[in-house]
Amino acid sequence: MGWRAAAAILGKDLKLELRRVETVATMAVFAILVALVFVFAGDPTPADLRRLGPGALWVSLLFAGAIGFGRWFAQEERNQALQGLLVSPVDRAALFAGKWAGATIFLLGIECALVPVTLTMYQLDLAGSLIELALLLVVVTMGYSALGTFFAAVAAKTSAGELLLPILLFPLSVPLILAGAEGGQALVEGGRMGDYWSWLSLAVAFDVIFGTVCTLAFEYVIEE
Amino acid sequence: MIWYLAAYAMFWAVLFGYLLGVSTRQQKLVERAEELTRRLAGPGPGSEGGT
Amino acid sequence: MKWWPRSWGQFWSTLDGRTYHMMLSARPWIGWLAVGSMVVVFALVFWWVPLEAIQGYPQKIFYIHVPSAWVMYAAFAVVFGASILYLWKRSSLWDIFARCAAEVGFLFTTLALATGMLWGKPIWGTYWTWDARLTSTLILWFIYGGYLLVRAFARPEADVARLAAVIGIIGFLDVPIIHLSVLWWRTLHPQPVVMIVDDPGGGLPASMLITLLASLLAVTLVFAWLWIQRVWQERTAENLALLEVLLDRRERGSR
Repeated sequence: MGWRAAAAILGKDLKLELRRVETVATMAVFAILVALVFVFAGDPTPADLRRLGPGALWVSLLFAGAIGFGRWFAQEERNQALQGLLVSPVDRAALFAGKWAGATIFLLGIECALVPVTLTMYQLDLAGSLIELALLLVVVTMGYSALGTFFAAVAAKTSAGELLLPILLFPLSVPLILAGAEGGQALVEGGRMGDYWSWLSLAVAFDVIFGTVCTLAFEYVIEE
Repeated sequence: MIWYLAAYAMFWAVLFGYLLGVSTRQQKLVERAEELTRRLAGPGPGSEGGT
Repeated sequence: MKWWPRSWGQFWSTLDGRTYHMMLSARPWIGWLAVGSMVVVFALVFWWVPLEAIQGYPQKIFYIHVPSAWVMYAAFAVVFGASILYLWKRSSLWDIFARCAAEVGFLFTTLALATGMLWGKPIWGTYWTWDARLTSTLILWFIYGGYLLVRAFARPEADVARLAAVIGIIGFLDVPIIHLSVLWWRTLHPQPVVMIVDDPGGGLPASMLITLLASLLAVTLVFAWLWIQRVWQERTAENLALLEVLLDRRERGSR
């Protein structure tokens, strides 16, 4: 597979997006707002907050992703850039890998702002297990980006694109959401490392399976 | 007793509803086939001495 | 034997047509057997099978609920297999098989959910609980729904069959993982006990087992008949569309 081609696509996407930092920043603000609105949904005590926190974090990431993935593909469709990529002799798998890496990096960028704010707002003390939290975030984000990139390409082929993307994406991401929320919960409660590792390995298995399947199947989606 | 009867009534209602949809489709299909058969039997280039 | 394929390559490339013709010749048999076995199941459920001691009447919902759930998984397996074969062979029949199985499978998923809820209310005291099996069935319902929505909303210039096939494959692969994760989620978390009866399927007496097996057979036959009928309709519609194009061309040529 063309690693070089994948890297070139990743570089192009990053450059385009960094030129307009406001997109990433706006998405981060949006994600934080979703996490905040969750607090208003009930009248939570500090104990409730600690119970809801990890879940709220993942729900807001889920929403941010659903908006973001669609946009990143719409951008390519708008100026026919995708056609340009498709006529170039780039391997479809490399194209997917580049897009996937880009989506992962953007979501991780959003998390850099979202996670500290959420931890503070939900009064979660995770100072002792930051590495475990980071590991979980990276693994779950990778899986979610793989599915998100893939289904954004599918949804772009329909007339109800932005509406359809979350409908396809959310049910299939349930194992990831649970892994993120429950794994995070295990860390918050402390000492439940066995549960944490089970959820982490589930997410890793998910990444391996769907990373492979989406990379292989991408050519069937994108083919004209 | 009520739940049991309700479940069976619902099961049959849904199945028959779907069956009704299938047979409506069938009817439309038959009509379309009849129309196309009429056109097929109608004057084509062959009947007017075309090659 | 003329129909016997000469090589594996020929076997796979003619499998769609041979399956289709087999389905068509079995259709009347399946139809009558479905009607007959449904009548038998009806009689068994209403008059023959004894009432379950603890649950009473609502337990009888089991005889339509379990077969619906079984058909839901079977239909998804058909979608998966036909989708793979479609991507490989690109024959529109495989796509039709997958499409119709998804449609009828969605119907039975809905029935499994609805009958489950109508059983849950008298037995568990609530229509819905986040039990592992209920939750994964609900997610499966959404996956089927997404598949059908993509088919409905695809842009005319897009190749719907290919998109749908890919979703069918990914969705099917996700089902065991979803089931596992939901199972962990429910067992790692203690939850308020609403269940009066824990395992409705364990240790069935013979009469109930016979009724259950009969209803499994009957509902599977109903599914098979509906699926074949829909496949036939879709295939016929495709052929008629082709005929229409040819007729249009002929009429233009004659002018």
